[in-house]
Amino acid sequence: MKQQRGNPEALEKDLFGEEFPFGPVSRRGVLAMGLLTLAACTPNVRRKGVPYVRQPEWVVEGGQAEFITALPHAGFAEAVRVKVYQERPLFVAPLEAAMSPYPLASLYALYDPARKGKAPNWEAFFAVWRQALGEGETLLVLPRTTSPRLEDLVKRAQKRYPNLRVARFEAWTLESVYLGAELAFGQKAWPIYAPEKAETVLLLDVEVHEHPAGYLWWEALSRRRVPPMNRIYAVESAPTLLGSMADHRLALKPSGVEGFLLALAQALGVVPGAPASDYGGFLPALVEDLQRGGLVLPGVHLTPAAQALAQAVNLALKAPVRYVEPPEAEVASPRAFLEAEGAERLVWAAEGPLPALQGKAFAALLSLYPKEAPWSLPLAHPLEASGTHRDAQGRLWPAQALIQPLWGGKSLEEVLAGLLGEELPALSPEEKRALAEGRPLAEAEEMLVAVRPGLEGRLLPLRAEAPLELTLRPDFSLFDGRYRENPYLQELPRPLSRLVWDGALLLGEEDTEALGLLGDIRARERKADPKRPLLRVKAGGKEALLPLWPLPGLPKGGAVAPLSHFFHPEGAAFPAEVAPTGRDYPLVSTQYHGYLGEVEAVKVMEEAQALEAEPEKEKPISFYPPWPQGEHAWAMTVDLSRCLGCGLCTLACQVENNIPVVGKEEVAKGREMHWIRIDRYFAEEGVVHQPVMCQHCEKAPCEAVCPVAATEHSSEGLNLMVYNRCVGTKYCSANCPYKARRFNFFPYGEAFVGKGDPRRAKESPLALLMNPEVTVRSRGVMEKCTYCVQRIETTRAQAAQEGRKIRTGEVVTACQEVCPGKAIHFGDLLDPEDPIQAHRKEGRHYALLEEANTWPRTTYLAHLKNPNPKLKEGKHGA
Amino acid sequence: MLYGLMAYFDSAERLLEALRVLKGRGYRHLEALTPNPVEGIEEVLGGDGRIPWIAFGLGVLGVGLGLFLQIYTTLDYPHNAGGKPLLGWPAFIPVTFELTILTITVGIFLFLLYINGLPLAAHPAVRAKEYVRVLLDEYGVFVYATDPRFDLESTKALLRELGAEVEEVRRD
Amino acid sequence: MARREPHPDHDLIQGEWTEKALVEKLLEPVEKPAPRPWRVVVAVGAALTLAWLYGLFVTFVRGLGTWGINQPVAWGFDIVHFVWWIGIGHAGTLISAILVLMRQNWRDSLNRVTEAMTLFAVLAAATYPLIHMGRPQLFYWVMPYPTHMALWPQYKSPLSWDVLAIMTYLTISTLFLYLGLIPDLALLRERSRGWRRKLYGWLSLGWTGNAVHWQRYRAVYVLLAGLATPVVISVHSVVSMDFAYGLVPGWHLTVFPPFFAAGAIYSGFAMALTLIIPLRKWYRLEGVITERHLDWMAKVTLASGLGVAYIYLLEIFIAWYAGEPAEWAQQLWRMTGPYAPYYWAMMLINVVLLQTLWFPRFRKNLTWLFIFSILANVGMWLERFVIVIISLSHDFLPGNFQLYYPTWVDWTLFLGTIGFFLFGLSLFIRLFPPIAVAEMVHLFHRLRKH
Repeated sequence: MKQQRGNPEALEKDLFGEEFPFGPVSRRGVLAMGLLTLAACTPNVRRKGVPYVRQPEWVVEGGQAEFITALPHAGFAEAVRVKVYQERPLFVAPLEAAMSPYPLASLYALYDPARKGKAPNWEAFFAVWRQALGEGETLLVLPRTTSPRLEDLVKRAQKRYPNLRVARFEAWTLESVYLGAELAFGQKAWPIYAPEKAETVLLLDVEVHEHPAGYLWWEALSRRRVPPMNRIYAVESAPTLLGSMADHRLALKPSGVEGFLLALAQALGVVPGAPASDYGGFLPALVEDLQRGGLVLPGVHLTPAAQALAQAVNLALKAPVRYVEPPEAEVASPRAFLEAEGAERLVWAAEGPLPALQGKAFAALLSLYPKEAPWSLPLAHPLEASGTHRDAQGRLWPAQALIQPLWGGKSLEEVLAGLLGEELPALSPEEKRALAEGRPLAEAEEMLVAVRPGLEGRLLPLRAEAPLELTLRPDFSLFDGRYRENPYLQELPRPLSRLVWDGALLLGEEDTEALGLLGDIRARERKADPKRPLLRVKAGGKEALLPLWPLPGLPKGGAVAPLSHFFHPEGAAFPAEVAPTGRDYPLVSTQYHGYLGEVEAVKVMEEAQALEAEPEKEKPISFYPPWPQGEHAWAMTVDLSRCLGCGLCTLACQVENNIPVVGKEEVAKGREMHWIRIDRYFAEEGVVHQPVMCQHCEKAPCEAVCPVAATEHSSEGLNLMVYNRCVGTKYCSANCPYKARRFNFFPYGEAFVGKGDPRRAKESPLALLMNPEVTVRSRGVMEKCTYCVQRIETTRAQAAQEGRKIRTGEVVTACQEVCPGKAIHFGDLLDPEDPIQAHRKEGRHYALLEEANTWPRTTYLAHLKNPNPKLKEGKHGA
Repeated sequence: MLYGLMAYFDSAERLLEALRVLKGRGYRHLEALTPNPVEGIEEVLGGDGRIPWIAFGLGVLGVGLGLFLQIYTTLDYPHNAGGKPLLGWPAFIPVTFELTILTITVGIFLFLLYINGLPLAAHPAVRAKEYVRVLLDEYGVFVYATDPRFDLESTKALLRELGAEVEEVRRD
Repeated sequence: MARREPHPDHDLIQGEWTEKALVEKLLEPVEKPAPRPWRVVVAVGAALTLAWLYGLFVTFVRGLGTWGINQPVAWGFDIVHFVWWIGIGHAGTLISAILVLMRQNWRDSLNRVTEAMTLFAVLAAATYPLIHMGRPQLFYWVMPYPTHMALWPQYKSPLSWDVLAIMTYLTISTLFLYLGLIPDLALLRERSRGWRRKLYGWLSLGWTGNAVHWQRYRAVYVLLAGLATPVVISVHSVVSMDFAYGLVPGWHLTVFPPFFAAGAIYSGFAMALTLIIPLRKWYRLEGVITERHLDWMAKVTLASGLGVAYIYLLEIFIAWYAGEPAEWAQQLWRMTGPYAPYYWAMMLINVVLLQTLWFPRFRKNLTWLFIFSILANVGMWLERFVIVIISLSHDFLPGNFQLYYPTWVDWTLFLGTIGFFLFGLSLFIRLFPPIAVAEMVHLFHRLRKH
């Protein structure tokens, strides 16, 4: 019942008549007016970002909501939970097991003012397009699509406009996989692996971001990287993150990898013949291990013949793999690029490299960012568009738009519907239900396959050997170049090389030496001089200038170039020639020292050792009496055995905590702001990764030295940073043994929001990207990991509202939420139910730099290896 | 108007001698002006033993101030900095020490000015035409005309007898 | 009259002098037209000071990012120069305070100029902690005053100690300098006219030379000397605790307080030699700043330098003996890393070249002494570079090692403080006698009328 005092109308007129000339004011009206006032403050931003004037029922001022949707990356859906704060999508977390960094990073593009081009005139565009279709054959190049609705639209458009030819372009194609299945089984198929079920996994040139299911694979593999462990073998032509997790690794040239696969198939009796070599005992050991429940994961760029062999091997091993219909109706391949270049009339809607548009009768570009073209039209951001997409397991997911298109963009479906003059239907009830329940619309249809006999006869030639074999593989950050505008990704250090803002030609140390450049590079490394020699790379009749970054772990005669910097429409691997140009190019890496020396920062143990090891019982020493303990004792464990080193935590932390990107020059000076730094070390056991963030030491060296008490300890064990109070002496940073603190040397936050100009921060729509729960730090203050204190506090408030205590595991930090290997665990040491108790009692539990006696609350679990005892002695490549 | 007589001596010994004589004759209102400290002057004109005691008192005050500052500020807004105890006294030593020294230094300097009556805007002896000599190499005695035993001629004669050059200091 | 034994320090004032002539000579720098080198020094100093102001402007307007500091080297040239200047300041206080207590007569001709050196060095030093803050406009937050935030400074931080140590040091050295100046100011007041007379008149506070005042003055002077002695030791010890309190390998050493105090005296005496040797030549002060003075200074330089050199060797030993991998890695990094030339240059100057001062032949060679005094300060600069920058660039986790490259702003701010120092000091000796007149005359009395 509403309580009323007197005649409301009269009262309101009396009181508010003058201020509110539009009549009686309701509760909603007041809110609307508040929003209008806000809109008046920053007209550019609010008018577009908050489209409603009348407040929907469910919107709570200052409240958060969570939606489920699917965000496509290279055509494949990633089912995600999107955290929305007053209509502003602010964070993306995986709905199920894992996701890639791209949907998360794409939040930047959503608010990026650079997406704003000329106001699009869609009707005029459709008219011109229709006219072009009337004149002659017009090519529409689509990216990889897995949407049945889009396919249907394409079909109908082609029926209506017979001149409409459609090609699918994707620089990083999955064609070989389908063709390999066709070779083996006689029909195209898409394999879905379940690596968690395999005792032994062979990685054949697989990298986590190169396969649509890569992150899911690591999620599955990582479950078995703690006892009882699986065993991972990697045979690869370039050092990869997944390969660095392997227990045994063999570096071979791309042709060698396929040769190895053939030898393996022969050893297993899948194809007749005897293996040419036993690879120093590697092959027999692997064969033995694989026969106890093995699985082969082939990289998508292996030749179709190799794919067929891998599938045949998997079937022979009864490996946990099932096959479904290819998720793409028509295969997207890089060859469409040539087609597009030759087309007279072109509508290019694919991503990645751009074809030349000169001399065409009609050329239009549909892209997220405006481009130089006769017709450049904006595509909608995935968060602005609804649709359906299939994920890497072939399941169909609905996607919903969570925000009105900010710059008038349309999704591909809308574009085709517009061409047809149709309206897209709204979300169907099934879609709505699926979205509400967080489940796919449809599962993939499974295919029953069997290897057709005579595979050896159908094997096309495997990859041929060459003195120097170059593979063009997608860049971890830019993929095929489509994320070039995304500073989050540009500055996310590439795994292993830790390079930012640039891709480079990766070459082994021996080959670099052969070019006569290694000594010079080492001398420059020593001086932290970022200049690296620029090489002229010739491959497949194309040429590119690429700076050189020598990396341990590459085979002799093998090189890798990023697809974002060197695209070839005819394939992914070529015999190549490289020659120094005598010129230099600055390459910036976040880490120059890759060797641990005597410092035991990363502990590596073998499975048996870890099981035997006793948990540390020694109590830390202090002269001082303990401080009173609060209601909780927050702590974190990082399981290095489950840590892939992919950097998703870094990115999630960056998005959640308003951490700015600082640019290449600043990173070159060593001023990157990422609160989580992933240290990569080349150890004897292989490459190891260690995320290092504020360790929330109980005896924090940083706190004691702050002259103004800007950093202090909470009773719950948080090392608090009071930005308001910080005067910026940087003493805390100097005294932090983990160097986990970051300093705002420039107004980085404002500059990031203002796209380089701090003075334009307030008017930039990127201000909407900033998490309102977290302060945007000003120039001259220190910052660092807060254990996502805003999440702790909102959870606490929620619990208090509901009159209960915080539940076990209820507080989830941003890094923990996205970690594909579930390596990060945040918990409460006072909660006996919390899994962190078990983590801390494990034999492999250790504190980083224990000798510093800082009593860190963030602790680590040693990296585990499960080597084959028979292979212990041997050395098989780096 | 006559302020007094300025007598210039060429050595410290003569000055001391003259002062003794003048004191012996009952002169009370006079000042010795010298270019540098003269040893033995306290025996004639009396010393000042207060300075060390004042300094000690200031020192005690300084220790108190230092400790008070740190203990009060720590207890007024208690917070856990690096897990150290709130009143971790070893950390308080440097500030207490520095504040002690600071208090003594500033205090004793102000005290020096106070007991010397400085700053001083004007002094009759400075009006002597040859006054600069007592800042250079000679030793002066200024006998005020207000001294009860003062008599222009006899005092002048007495001073000359003691070996001084004598100058009458008058207002122009 | 029997011929008396000459005073053992009779040769501290050489030549035939009367008090008058001596005073005239000592007041020459103030009263006579300045020699040409003085003009050059002032011009250079003023130019560099202007450059300094520009550097400060850039720092304040654009931010600390214009410097070369980064993560992990969060302290760079700023702290190197802070420590360097503070160290240089020490010679003045030492000469004026400790040598007073030890009744060393040779201090009398050196104390004024070195005290002035202290003042300007400490002023130059004090700018660095202010400008190295991320938000220098909030510098007053390090002072204890009741604020709306109800917060106070955190007195367990060595930086809070630093604030008070430096304030105390600045206060006591200023007061000491001023106290010593008062009699000379009175003399200058009587000898000058126009604005100078007004200035000296105000500053001299109406000092008349009253013998009773002199007694109290002397008592306070000696008392202040007694107080300044522990301060001079404590200030650099507190500065050293900025490092020794920290965990960084290469900082975390209990030997730091004496190490820094020795280094400060060493660098201070070297800077005093650098200033006094040309000053003596340009103003022809050979009679009052004799070779014996310089010899004494060289000996103190040697003694303190040996202390420094000893601790260099001790540091290596401790790094090895402690068996702490990070410490030993830091030591190796210093000796073989990219900064090794800096380390070895420091060792060359402060350990090897220092030994030349054992030999009178080198000590009496003013050219060498002058060159060495400059080298010694380069050496001490290198030492601070080694301690601050090399240590930070290579601490515990190899993943965060990073080198430091100073920018033009860093260099401008450094050269600027040198300019400010020279400019201030030049103006000082133009306005105030660079040698304490009253004390010299007093000494002259004691030596001749013994």
